[in-house]
Amino acid sequence: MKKVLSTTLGILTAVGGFVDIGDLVASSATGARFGMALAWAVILGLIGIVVFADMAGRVAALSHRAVFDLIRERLGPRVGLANLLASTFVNFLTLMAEIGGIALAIELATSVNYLLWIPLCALAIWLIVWRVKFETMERVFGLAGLALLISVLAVFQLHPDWNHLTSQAIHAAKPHSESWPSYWYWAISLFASAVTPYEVFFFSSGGIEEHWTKEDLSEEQANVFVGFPIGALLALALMALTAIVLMPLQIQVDHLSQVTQPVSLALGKLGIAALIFGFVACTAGAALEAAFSSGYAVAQYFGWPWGKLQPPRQAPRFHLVVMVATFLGMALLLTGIDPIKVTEYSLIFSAAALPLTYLPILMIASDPEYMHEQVNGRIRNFMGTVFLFIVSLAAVAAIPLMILTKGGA
Amino acid sequence: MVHAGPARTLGPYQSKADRTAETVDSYVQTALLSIELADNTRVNLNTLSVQLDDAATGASGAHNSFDTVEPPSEIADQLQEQLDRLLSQVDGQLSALATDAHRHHISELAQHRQPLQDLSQQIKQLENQLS
Repeated sequence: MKKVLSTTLGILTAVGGFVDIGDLVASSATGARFGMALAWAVILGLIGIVVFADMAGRVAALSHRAVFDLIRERLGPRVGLANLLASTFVNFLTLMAEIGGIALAIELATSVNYLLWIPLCALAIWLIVWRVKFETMERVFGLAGLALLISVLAVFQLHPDWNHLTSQAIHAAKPHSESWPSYWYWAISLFASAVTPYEVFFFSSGGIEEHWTKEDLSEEQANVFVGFPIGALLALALMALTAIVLMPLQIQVDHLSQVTQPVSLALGKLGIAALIFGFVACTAGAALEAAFSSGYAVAQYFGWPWGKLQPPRQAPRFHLVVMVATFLGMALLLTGIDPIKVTEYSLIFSAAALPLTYLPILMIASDPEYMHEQVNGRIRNFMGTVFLFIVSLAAVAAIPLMILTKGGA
Repeated sequence: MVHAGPARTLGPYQSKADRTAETVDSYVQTALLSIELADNTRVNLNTLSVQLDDAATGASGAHNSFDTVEPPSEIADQLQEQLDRLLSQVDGQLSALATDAHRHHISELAQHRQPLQDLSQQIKQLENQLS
């Protein structure tokens, strides 16, 4: 049981990272528009995040130093600062979107306008960061997020034509009604929704908070190899649901409420209740990750005391950054900005900023001075280099495609 | 998602009209699916209410966005008039549907099905003309 519970950091990271508000909509939207043709982007993202998080986790366990500390040391203060600014911007957009996402999910259960829930959600996130134990937080949200497995059950309950779904996924063909720029825009969005820097900051910093050492590498790998595939499975299930139900009706997904319809059709009211519970848990988990990551990145770069395990009195600037980010995000959301659009744009900016955090981790994981006998071997280095090429391509293409397609329209 | 913007010639205007029609029809289909789910008691009232509210606000948002584009010619004027008439009817139906859901008048939701299906058919015909 202890072994099972010890993987909850990975599960929280993964359900939050793979199935946050943007991904709930991005996976569902691509399913409704492209069927399973973009499933490859989720799989590619899964492999990418496994490679990335595994390297970051090993670096944390062996060096006992967090990502931003090492980025600054390895790249120098100036490049490190550019990296920090880009990552903080993406973290902040993500945090804002996730707070909005929790409110949208609660609106589905209560039909009370989401704007009224936003202050309460922001307050709850801040209180959890402030008061709740790290282990309790990761277990509660990690395990509650598994309620989204209801979407996998719903796929089976709909008795789909498996050959057709598999054929769509294998051929990865663009539907006639869609353009190539849109196809690639959504592919990058899906890939970026899996490989987000905030997940890695949270995962590796969380590992340091849990005092990982060389002896904990098997736990770290269990987190990576169990947690992230579960997240990918959930993303694929959401994609399949809309491909089965909404695509034939030519329904485009622009709202979270539309994502509930296939589960409703398959499993009725109980299914919807579990799905909404899962939405709340995943978006809250992602909001916590993004809030922590904001604090981790800034505090680690400037060398301030940081961490959930530090009493706020001993890490005041870390907690101040988390608090300011949370309440600033709340204030901007209350202006009426669409949280789903914010997340979709944050995914594209995240793709553009990804090589900045990926490259230093790859460099450190390949450096025997830091990693000793756990330095990247040939296979890990090969995978790491291939993904560096892929994330660089995605980074170059992301913003031009966003402009060209007017946000994937 | 519909984006308003200038349309200097008929082609881009028709393309915007086509995209608007497609978006609005998507919301009509969303509402029809919600009616089916409500008929079979497969959705709770709060979620149903949000689904229909989102469909109504989404369709009217797309309509308003299209209205901000100025028709560049007389043929575009006619197209604007034709689409505007259809979209106004859709707005009316979806808004009434959302109100019924808010008031938990579930038995009255089914009466919107046929008008919405008819409107969807007309929108699709217009889309075919445009494409």
